[in-house]
Amino acid sequence: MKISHCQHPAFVSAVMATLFAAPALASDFAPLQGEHYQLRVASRVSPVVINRIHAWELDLRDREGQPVTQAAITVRGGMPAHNHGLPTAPEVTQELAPGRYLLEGMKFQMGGEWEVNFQVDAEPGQETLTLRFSL
Amino acid sequence: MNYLLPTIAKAVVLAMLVAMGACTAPRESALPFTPAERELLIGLGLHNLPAAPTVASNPVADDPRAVRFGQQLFFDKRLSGNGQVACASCHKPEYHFKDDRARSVGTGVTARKSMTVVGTAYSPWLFWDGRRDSLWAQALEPLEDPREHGGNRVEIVRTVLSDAGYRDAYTSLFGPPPSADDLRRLPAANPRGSAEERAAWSAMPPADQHAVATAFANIGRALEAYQRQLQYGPTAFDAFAKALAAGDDDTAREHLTADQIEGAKLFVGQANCIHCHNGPLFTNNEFHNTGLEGPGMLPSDRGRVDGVKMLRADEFNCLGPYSDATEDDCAELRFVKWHGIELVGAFRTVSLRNIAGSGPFMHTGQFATLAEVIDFYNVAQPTIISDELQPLRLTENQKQQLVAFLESLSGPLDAPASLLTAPANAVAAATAD
Repeated sequence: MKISHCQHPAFVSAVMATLFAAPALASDFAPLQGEHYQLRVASRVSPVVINRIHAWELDLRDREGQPVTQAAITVRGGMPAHNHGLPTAPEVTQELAPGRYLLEGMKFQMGGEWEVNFQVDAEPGQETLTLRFSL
Repeated sequence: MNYLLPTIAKAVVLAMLVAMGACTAPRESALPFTPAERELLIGLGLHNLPAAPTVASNPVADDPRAVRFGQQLFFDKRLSGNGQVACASCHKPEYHFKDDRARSVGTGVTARKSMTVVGTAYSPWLFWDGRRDSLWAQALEPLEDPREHGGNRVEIVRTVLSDAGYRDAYTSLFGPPPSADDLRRLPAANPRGSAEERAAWSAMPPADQHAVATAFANIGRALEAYQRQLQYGPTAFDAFAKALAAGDDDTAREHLTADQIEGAKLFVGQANCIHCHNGPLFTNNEFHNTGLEGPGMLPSDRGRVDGVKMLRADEFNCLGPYSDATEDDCAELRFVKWHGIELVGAFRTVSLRNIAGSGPFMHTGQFATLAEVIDFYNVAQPTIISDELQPLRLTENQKQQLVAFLESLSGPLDAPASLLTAPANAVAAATAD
């Protein structure tokens, strides 16, 4: 018997399955704070995994915390280390509620370090906020 | 910072695993992987593969009657201009549902190598350039391609619906087909055929065009139902990954050789294979320019950049008039990346399951063996289009270990034996060799 009680397969398996099963990321990201805007980003699919197209929701507020309506938000992204972009062309398709936007077409085709850039154009001004995360 | 959270979580677990290993594990039983490498290797195991995605654009995709009908069509040489070519002619069951040619041969020589149909139920894109977005739409194109089946759309529909057994199968799945009289009066016409066939198609009333295209699409739906059944089965690597997931390194070691284990480490590490060959099917099904043309060369075959144009214009795509899908079902097509330099000369990543001994490899069979493929990546340089490739600088021994690992990815298909050959009740004279 080469495996002892504190390396019980079931325990190891539970740990591995919880956090090491596959490239994945919890669906909530910490808010991005810019000069004009605070942007909260949440995936509608949890966890975020590679090779699955899905939607995100964006909550856009001004410096006073008020929802920013009728913003034009352009989304780009990619893997800086690989010098390639997203595999899709995601778009903000609707404003679900004041300051809350639906972003469709998000997909990541590799594990590793990603960047997603949100170029926001609304009454407070134009600004690009960048989300960085690892899958 | 928010993006550090997963890293912190992994660090905590890394510490736990180190502690577990330190407290008891006999040194000789631990496999030589870092926690991150273990995570990646476990993620490649077939036990992570969910059921194939449902097909909103094909209501009979999982209907057993459609599977049987599709299997008969797949092996039927009558679905060709010269009566000599079936789907199975280039997608041979005995050769991993592809063939051993650099460029496949149907009624002519095709532009690229045939791809396997196994496991493709999971791919949002079909063909090397992803110019079709469902297995049913994919199945239609070769039927009327002058170099593949060389058929014409009207004649294919007429052939299928003139067979009493096929007509019954069609009717039970899709409702009444065009009448025999209607089919008889239609000319040999094909919107993608010769000048004469295209002219005949243009001259047909729109109602006739729609009726023929609807029946044609339904033939594709039956073919999809059959091909969806062809799935990869577990391999030595999958037993290894399962044992790894259970934390049982001793059992894991029993399933792979020492070279294969070293190859596995290279696969998720220095060799960078996992960037594109990821997930339990060893593919991200996306498009990459791998510099096959050589540094400083523009690709002669433009791959995805042309494929995506064809996809968006395709009448059989997810949003087209012959699809049952709603807009919500078509996110891949609605948000497809359709321009950008990285699409030029980019081709779809293939699965590495059952890849050993199935060459030649790459989209025009550039390499005869896996060793040659690895030799290429070992010296590949960034191209004028893509920075993705860097030379791997593997030693001869490491290259052999990587090949050995790839050989652990083969196993019998997960499909009933009855589906892996021509159906017993096929028309004898019309089935593929």
